[in-house]
Amino acid sequence: MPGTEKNKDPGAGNEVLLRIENLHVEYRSGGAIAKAVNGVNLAIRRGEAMGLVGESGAGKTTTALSILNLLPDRVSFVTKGDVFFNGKSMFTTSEQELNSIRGGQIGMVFSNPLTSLNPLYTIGHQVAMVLMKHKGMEKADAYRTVGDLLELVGISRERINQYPHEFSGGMRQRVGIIAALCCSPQLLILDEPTTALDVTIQAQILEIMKRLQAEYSTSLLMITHNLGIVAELCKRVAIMYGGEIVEEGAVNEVFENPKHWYTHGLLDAIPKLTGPRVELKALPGLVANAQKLPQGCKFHERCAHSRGKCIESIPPFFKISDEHYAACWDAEENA
Amino acid sequence: MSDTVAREGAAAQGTTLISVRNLKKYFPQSHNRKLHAVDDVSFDIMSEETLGLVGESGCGKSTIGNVMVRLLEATGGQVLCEGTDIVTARGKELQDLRKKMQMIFQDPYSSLNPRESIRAILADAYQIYHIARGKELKEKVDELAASVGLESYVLDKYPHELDGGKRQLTGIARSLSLHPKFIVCDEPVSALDVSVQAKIINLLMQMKQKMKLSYLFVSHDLSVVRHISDRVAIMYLGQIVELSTTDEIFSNTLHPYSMALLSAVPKIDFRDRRKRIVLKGDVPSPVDPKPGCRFAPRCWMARDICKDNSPPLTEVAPGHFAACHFWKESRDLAEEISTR
Repeated sequence: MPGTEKNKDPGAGNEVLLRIENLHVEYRSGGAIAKAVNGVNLAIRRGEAMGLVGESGAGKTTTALSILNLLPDRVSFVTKGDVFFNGKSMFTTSEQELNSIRGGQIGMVFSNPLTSLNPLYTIGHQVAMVLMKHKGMEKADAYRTVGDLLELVGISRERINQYPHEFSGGMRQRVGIIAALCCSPQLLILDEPTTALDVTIQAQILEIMKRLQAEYSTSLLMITHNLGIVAELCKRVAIMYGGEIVEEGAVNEVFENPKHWYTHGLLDAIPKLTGPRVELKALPGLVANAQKLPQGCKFHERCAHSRGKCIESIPPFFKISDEHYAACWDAEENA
Repeated sequence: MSDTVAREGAAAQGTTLISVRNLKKYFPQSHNRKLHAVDDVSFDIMSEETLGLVGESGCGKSTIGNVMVRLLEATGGQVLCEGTDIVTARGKELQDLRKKMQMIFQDPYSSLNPRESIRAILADAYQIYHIARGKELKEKVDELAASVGLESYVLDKYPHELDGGKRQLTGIARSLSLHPKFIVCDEPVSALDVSVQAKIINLLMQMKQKMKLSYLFVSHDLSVVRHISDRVAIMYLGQIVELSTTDEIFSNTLHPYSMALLSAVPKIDFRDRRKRIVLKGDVPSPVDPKPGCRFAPRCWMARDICKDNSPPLTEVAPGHFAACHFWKESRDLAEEISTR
């Protein structure tokens, strides 16, 4: 592994499964260029659950799609950087090999469980197909395994021959999760998996995720705007803004002692379920527009603490502790 | 549910503005079946009070809001606004009521006419009620927009040119144009990003104080409801299962469904790591529901009586209503199950 400043993972004994290095992604359409991801560095170790948090347009989903090399053709361009899975670049891997990695070694759960399942095939068929393709199982074996998995997530195996429209939203999402998990992938990417669901169903899904992660020690990348979910499920968290990771570290450190003003702002803007009811502090302005990103720190236009330095130059990652980094000039003195 | 029960529930303080009595809304289905979206619901809203209405999708919370401003016709029951029944009002009477009662919708895009400029959208109500025209109308709209913090350049734009936050500001401004007394807010912030959400919540709270408004705040987000509400009602399958002041609901929860709902919310606070009560299964169908407590099939403390008898919403402590046969034991039982 290169010994650059990106290689800032403590506990080097733990093997890094996924490494995103200085990733830049642009979307081009007509004359417009939207810089969706601007130099993201991220490493996920084996068995680790990482949360990726940000508002819409922060570049979370683009980052996730880059990991699978699934960015849409013709409009999206990786202009710089690379993604290494098991030490191998995803951008130079052949399409054939990619197909065995996708769904086999990396599973992905999408945010909308209705559109990510094929309405023309039964649930059993869709999940069994994954097993037959990636694990070379016989049809009967595959169906038996699917039945077991359905029961594992609390769906009766009698429903194996039903179609997606016969399932409720929560059940569809559980099907999406077992389809992503059935080949015991090394990495599971979850893109807002519970956004469309009610809280009690969300609680069911979170419990399942916790159990499965403990059982199979799968690495997780949990993309969400819900800080509560991250606090419950993840060990580490990365906060994204304007296509960059602005703060990263152990979840409890970042949430209890945020060092980037954007993280501060996010935490202050959310109403809490416990403690005194204090007035919410709204962040001024809007999420940075990817088509005309500001100079320097991407957040400076909305930041009450910005100064000359913030407008002139992009702050690097400052080390707060072994498990905590922030890209804010104000974090420099703490570094 | 008897009249007295619900009236006492409201008797917290202040004067009653809205009284909902035995409200029912059934949607006809094929084969002569009926979907019981709202089933015999009674509650009061005081003047200058925010009542939060919480529940999962399909529990009927939005239907209540729609029936209350008569965007839907009720199947039965009454909605009294200062003594006038909205459910049966007609003609001039209904028109006058509509001035008092307004609505803010969840999706600020589909609730704004795409072919009208923001100025035209905000002017509509003044024109319909012949309140202002010409130069006076222009001034009124300018003033209205300024009152919610919409910049004047926005007035010449069309809804598709605005971001979600500005669209929702337009929706709020429109609802305030006739100086209503009561506004139904139907998930007004759930389509918005966190930073914009905070802005809208703050504005709603400021406006309530400034214009002496009452809100029915419909939402599935418990932390938002806790933040904005004076009292909270929790719904399950067309019925209110618990109703009390916000602090009481969140600190002294009595109904097992409310407990499960509260425990299900993922929390940021690391010191608050209560064990979670995970409900099994999904919400049952509201089409021709079975007799008995509707929560019984998913309830961990359900006994025989729950399957046969539907518990009425009863005042179990001053101002605290719960619809559970075993509200006295529920807390101990919850303790037991969550430490298991």
